[in-house]
Amino acid sequence: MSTKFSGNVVFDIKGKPYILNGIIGRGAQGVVYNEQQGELVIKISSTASLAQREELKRRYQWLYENLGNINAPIAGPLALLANPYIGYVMKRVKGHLPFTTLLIPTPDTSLGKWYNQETGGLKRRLILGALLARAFRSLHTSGLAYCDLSDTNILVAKDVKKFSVVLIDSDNLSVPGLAETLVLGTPLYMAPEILCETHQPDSLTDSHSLAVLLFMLLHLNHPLLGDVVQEGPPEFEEQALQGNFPYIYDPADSSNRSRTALPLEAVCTSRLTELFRRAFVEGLKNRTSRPTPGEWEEACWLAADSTTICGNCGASFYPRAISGNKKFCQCPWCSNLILVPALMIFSEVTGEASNLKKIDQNSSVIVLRSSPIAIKARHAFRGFFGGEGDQIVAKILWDQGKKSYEIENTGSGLIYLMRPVDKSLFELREGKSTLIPNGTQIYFDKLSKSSVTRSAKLYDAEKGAE
Amino acid sequence: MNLDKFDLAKPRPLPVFILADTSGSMKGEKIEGLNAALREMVAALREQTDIRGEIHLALITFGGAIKVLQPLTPITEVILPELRANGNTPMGGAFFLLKQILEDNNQLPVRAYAPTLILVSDGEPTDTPPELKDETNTVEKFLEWEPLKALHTSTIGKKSIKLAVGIGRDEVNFEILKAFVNNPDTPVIRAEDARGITKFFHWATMTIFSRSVSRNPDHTALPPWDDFKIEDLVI
Repeated sequence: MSTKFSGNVVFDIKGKPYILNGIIGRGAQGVVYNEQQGELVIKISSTASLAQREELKRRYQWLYENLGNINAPIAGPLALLANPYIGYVMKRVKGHLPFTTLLIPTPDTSLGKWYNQETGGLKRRLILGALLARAFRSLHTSGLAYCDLSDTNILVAKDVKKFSVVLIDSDNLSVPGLAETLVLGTPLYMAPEILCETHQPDSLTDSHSLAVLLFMLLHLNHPLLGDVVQEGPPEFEEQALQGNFPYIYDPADSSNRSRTALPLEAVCTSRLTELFRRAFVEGLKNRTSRPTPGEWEEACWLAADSTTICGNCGASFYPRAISGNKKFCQCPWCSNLILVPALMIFSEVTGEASNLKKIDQNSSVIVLRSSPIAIKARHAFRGFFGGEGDQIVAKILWDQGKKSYEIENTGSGLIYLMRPVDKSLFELREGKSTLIPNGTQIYFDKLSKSSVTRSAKLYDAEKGAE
Repeated sequence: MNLDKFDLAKPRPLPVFILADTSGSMKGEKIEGLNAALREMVAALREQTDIRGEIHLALITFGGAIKVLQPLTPITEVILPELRANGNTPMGGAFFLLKQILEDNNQLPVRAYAPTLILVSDGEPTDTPPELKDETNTVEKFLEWEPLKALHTSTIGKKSIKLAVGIGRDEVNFEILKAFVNNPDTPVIRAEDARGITKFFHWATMTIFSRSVSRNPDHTALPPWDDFKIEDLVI
């Protein structure tokens, strides 16, 4: 527990001094210190061998020169330290906690209270998951890989009303294939091929780590550590992480089930269930089967939009009708029954108005509320991902007086509505709004035989199915 | 479903067993120093939260009698008893008891990581057979001593990380401590006073910390011992 450096001054390569004031954390590769004025942190590496020191210096130089060009929330080097130190100065990330805090419940609090109130619930986790996947996508599209993803080098906003993810410890970023990475990741998140030493870290191994992080974020259990592994000796854990035990929710192999992972139906949409299956069944050994960060991001955003809130305990959950009574759904946390809320159900069609053909059933569902809901480009069109997908195309508002939902075109294109009575098409211009009675079909683009258009239908359980 | 009552997985135990000499010769500064060092260690270990493992602590004393003062318990629930010095030094009996505990799946669950074993002594074991009581005792001879041999050859005993501190100077039998550690790469530490005991326990805590956050708690290198003076490292 040496604090040799505290109170000392270190200099960057431009000669600027920084006064160290206490240790924030230490890892295998170095120590991170507070800078006295509180806005910066200083990382000083502690690798011993000369060759490793030179490699690190080159890496930090590369990060310093290149991270600025990447549009991703990574805390990278702002300045490099001068000899004899190998390290860098970076911005202190305030108002954030390690991702780990979303995985370990606070003792003496009920699980429900911790998951739903203290950490914001399922919807917040899905949004944070989307932001994490987005950060990875930015990295990968720039040709970089993270290589040391773990719950300790991801930070999330402390305030449950805020949604922010920051990646730190950026000295494990690398350009795949460029240099042998100096450190391999933390086993829980490491891809099996790295643990078996047949591969070096790259963007596909990152995809495995991302899938594990997302699984743990939602289910509070590792996807490969089922009961038989957790109750067995530590050697089983090593084996499981190397891919020798099946996925805990493998449909074809139930030998590694888990009593301690939250059930799939409580936290996943069918799309997420499918992606996790791809990641941990085929994707364990076939790297290219793994879902990409882009796929994860979209699945998380759409899942977040399909949650509703339990009036009794405040949990967010997917409002699936219970068998026996289509009008009600049940909160998985407190078993409270609530009416299935009004939904906007999306699908894809092709053809002309008189001869429409459905292509894809239920590509997404948006849960409506009394407060305005945004329909974004990712719902309304194919091919709009990431930041582009966030653009708001329309708003759905509840008109209390007329007791009906209303749609407002806030985008830059025409929206078409087909009335159920006479199947006539009505054009909703930009800036205009109109009521949407039950059964109205909304089309976000012109209908044509040669293209696919997304459509949405309002489904209100109270008013009867359609 | 009623997920509010759902039980999550408990992290694997990372067990720490302390074998403490509480013989009469420990009276005074030595036992007080040990008590203080133990309290500090428990406080420091409590701070560690990790999904990879949870520290569990057990305390076995040998001083006249051999007692399990604290059975293996999660660190957050440990209430340290105050150690008192009295009696002779049945170290062999303590080794034997430890071996039995390590082999008992009810006391040390199968799912636990390999334990860290810490031996604290200020003198000579009094329950050695006659042939081990002469001056020319070596590490090799002690390795053949039944209770220690049994500990070293047991499945869990073999995998455990062993650390030892000798409190005092000339009265301490460092050969038995080295035989206990049984690893040429790990020095036995000499502590001359309460401060030395504290320093040893700091280092032991770091060892436990580094295992608990390590990539693989069962294969972790020990933290450096640069804080110890060269004469306090007994190799």
